[in-house]
Amino acid sequence: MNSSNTIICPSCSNPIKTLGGGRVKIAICKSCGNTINLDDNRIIYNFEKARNPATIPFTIGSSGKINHIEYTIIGRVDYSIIDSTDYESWSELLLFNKKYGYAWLVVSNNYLEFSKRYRKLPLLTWDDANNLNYLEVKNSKYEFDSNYLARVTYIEGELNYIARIGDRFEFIEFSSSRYNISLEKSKNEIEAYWSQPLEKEKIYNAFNISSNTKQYEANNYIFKNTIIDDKEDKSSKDAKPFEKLLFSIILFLLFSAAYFKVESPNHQIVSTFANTKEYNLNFNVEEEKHLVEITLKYDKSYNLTNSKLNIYNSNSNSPLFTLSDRVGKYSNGEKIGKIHFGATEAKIYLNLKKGSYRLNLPSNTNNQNPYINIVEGVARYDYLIFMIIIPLILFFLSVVISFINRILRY
Amino acid sequence: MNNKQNYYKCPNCGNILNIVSKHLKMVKCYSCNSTISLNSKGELNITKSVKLREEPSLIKLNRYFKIDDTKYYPAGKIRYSYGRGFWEEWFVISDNKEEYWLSVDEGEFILEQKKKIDIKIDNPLKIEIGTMLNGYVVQEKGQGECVGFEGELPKFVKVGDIHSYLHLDGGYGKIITYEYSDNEIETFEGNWIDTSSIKVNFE
Repeated sequence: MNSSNTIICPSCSNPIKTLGGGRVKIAICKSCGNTINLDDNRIIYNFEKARNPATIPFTIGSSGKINHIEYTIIGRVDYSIIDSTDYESWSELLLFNKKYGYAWLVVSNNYLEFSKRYRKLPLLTWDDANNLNYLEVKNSKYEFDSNYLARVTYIEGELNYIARIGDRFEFIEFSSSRYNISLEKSKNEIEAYWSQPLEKEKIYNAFNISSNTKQYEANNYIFKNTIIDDKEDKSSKDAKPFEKLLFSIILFLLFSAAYFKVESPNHQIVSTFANTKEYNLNFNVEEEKHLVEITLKYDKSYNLTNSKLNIYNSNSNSPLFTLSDRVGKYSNGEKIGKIHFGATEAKIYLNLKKGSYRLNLPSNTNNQNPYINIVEGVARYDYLIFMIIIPLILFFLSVVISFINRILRY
Repeated sequence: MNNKQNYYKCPNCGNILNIVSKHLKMVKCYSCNSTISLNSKGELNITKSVKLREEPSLIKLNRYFKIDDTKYYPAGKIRYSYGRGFWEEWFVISDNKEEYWLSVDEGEFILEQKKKIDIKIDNPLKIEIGTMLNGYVVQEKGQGECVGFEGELPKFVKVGDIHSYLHLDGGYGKIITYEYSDNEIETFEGNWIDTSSIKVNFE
């Protein structure tokens, strides 16, 4: 039995007894299901706990002798073959002994295997390996047997590499009359494992597995429930196009926002000081893509509380926009804003179509000269902010949907 | 002092220190646990010593072991810590008096000999796993801090020394270790060893 250390889950404070050595990379908290990186004691994956792991007779923490060496089971990874019609699944239990290091006990419906890293293969690319008819290992010939793609469906305990549910691995199997060589391709490298079949009865006895459990296993219940894996695959495949669509929308909106900002010509129409009498100013709007910005203020910073302003179509006598009692509104009654009490400058943004317009300032009694500045092709920062918030909301939604999808998978 | 001499007296307690290596640089006195280093004039100096904690290991100091049919004598070891764990570099001498280093890291064994190998690496820190160098593939890069030693060594080490390395995989179990520090680069060539080929209890 190996000695153990205890760490505290940084998420739920549950004490986690670690049984492996220094090369163990991750531990999965039994309480909250989070995956903890043991190098820095930080959570790296959240809620990766599968609801229905296959039932196997071996438990983490139990010890037993294999090939005369006492190993402790410290972790577990379950795999399912992708696109398999018979839902073939198996468990790999990570074994540890302080003197002999790490090895795997492979558990499936049909067999038990002991597997250990094999480092004496020639340097191979994955394509090379796929084209090999056989391998020469330990003076024996290993014939090509099969290749397949499998997905991680469950993880538990400690592992000496960073794994998560959903990770995909490619396998190529070579077999001799008794032993197997398995090549595994993960994201980063190709690893070879040499494995030998084990006698179930002997291993069950070594690990003190009770006769009840043996009977349970004899009924072939192990991995029965992994049929749910097929659904899991479909749901994850369905989720992807939707996430892609959301991402496209976000990109489009961000691009639009940038376009509005960058393409805005900010064309100055007129900038003038008027006199104190009633004042009319004609101006033309040449483009409709952006807003027209009208700035109104007085030359001595007089406040705008009693200011009035009207905008007319040049061929009409009724105003299409009025500013009165600090409220700006279109002729249909739609309010577009209100000037703060005591404000000395107002910026009015109007969505005007191409055409000729007349700005009218009724005569005022405050003896101040009003200043008018009209600019067309203005993108309001309010709009830009709005266009950034929408993508953020969409992004948040996509994260939530992805999270729900992940939960529904189990 | 010269390297032909095969024993010394501990300058602290007078205990006889039997030496097996040809190029002794440091030795630990089994009696008083003093660390004794040999300077360039052949004088013995006592330096600060650290007693390593006993850890389970297939290899035991001064107890012969076999790899396949070759017998080796573990004369010394250096322990390097990588934070949550450690590995040990065992200085071993074969039956035919060849000196080797056996790296033991949680059940992974590499037997190597120091050998000058011409590998040009501009910045080992930036090299990526999977890079091909001289027909070898960079398989691992790591670092450890010396936490102590036992027995005798053909090189100087001190607690706190940083040991940085690259493992280059040549296929068929061949490996090159490229060790580097601010001052020097050393290369070692050897093989991965199957634990099944190591025998520790034999007559």
